[in-house]
Amino acid sequence: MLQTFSKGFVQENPLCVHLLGLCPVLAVSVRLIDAFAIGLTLLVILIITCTAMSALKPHIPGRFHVFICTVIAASCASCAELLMRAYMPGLSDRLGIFVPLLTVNALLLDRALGFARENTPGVSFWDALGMGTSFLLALVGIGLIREVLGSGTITLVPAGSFSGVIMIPGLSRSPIRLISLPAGAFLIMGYLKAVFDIAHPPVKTTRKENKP
Amino acid sequence: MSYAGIIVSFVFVNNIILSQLIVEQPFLDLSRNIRTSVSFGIVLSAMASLCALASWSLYHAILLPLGLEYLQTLTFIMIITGLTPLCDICTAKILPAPHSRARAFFPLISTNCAVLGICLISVRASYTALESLLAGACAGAGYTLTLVFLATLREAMKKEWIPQPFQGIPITLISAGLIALAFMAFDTALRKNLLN
Repeated sequence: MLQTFSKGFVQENPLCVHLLGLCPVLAVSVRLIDAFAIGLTLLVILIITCTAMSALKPHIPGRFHVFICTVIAASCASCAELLMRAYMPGLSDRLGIFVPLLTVNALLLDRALGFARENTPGVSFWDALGMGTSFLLALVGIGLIREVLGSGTITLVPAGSFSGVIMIPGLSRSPIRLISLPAGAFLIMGYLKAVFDIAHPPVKTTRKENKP
Repeated sequence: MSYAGIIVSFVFVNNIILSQLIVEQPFLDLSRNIRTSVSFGIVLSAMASLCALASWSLYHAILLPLGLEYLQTLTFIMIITGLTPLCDICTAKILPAPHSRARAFFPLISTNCAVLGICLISVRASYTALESLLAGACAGAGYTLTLVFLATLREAMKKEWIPQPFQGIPITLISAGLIALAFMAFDTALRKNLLN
């Protein structure tokens, strides 16, 4: 169980190894708090969808698996969006359509249609928890890098007299603006992937890819 | 927004990959050569415009009168996953056998976030029916354009020496970043100057 939970952190990290779930990583990693929020949302949706899929799989025919999986994920994503709009309107405006787009997140579909279909609900729960947490950590890391370099600030939750924004001396006056633009998202992701490949050379696996 | 505005906006200014970043991992595989990227792009454009129109009609015919706007994500994903197999079957009946290669793309379309993205964008920007159809087609065209640029770059890079850790995915992502940098020339000011 511990191995199921922890395998996602380094050697099977969904983001750094397989580049699954690229959409939120590229689009909403400009601010640390946004990256954290979307990662946490995905973690919750992932746990619900994977556990439900592996519990329901004996009762639904195989050709409806994709349909049922996306319907479960879409319900969770809609709930998340409504809750976010009710309690955190500012955050909801910044995340925009990326919360409903978590429905077709590649990480979610890969875990729910790949792993959860072949395992029991308990194992799928731990797998979803581990994968979601490691994705969250990777996303927060990328959000931190992009925000520090791109705007020279670190945005956290405002509490008491603390405004929620840490200014980094030097960088906040003349940040590398490119990194917080869409072009910077691709560049940073490319360089990080290369660095990760040096640290952990990719093992030739038999993982089937969606090649047409 | 005028029709010309939508075309310029979705193909260049708000390109769905390069500036809205609604993109998933398969685009790295699909941009392997120009032929694959063009055929995937055509299938995607057709499906995106069809799904955008279908979701517009369902949203305005059922969800809005009943006050069920909050079900939009659920409805749209059901439309997309339902329409895709249907179109798959129709394509198999209509097109001759050599074109059946394109059928391999349909499973990728049904879980493509660009298609869901364009449905959500066109409903939230309250486009009319024709505008959503056009937005879907133009977003697909923008996607195709990006894939073709990326595929061209990758074919050119086969002859070049690339440092070992950068081979494969990293250099593709960096090339996409450089294309996005070039596309920053198409900004909202350009759209205003062109259309006024």
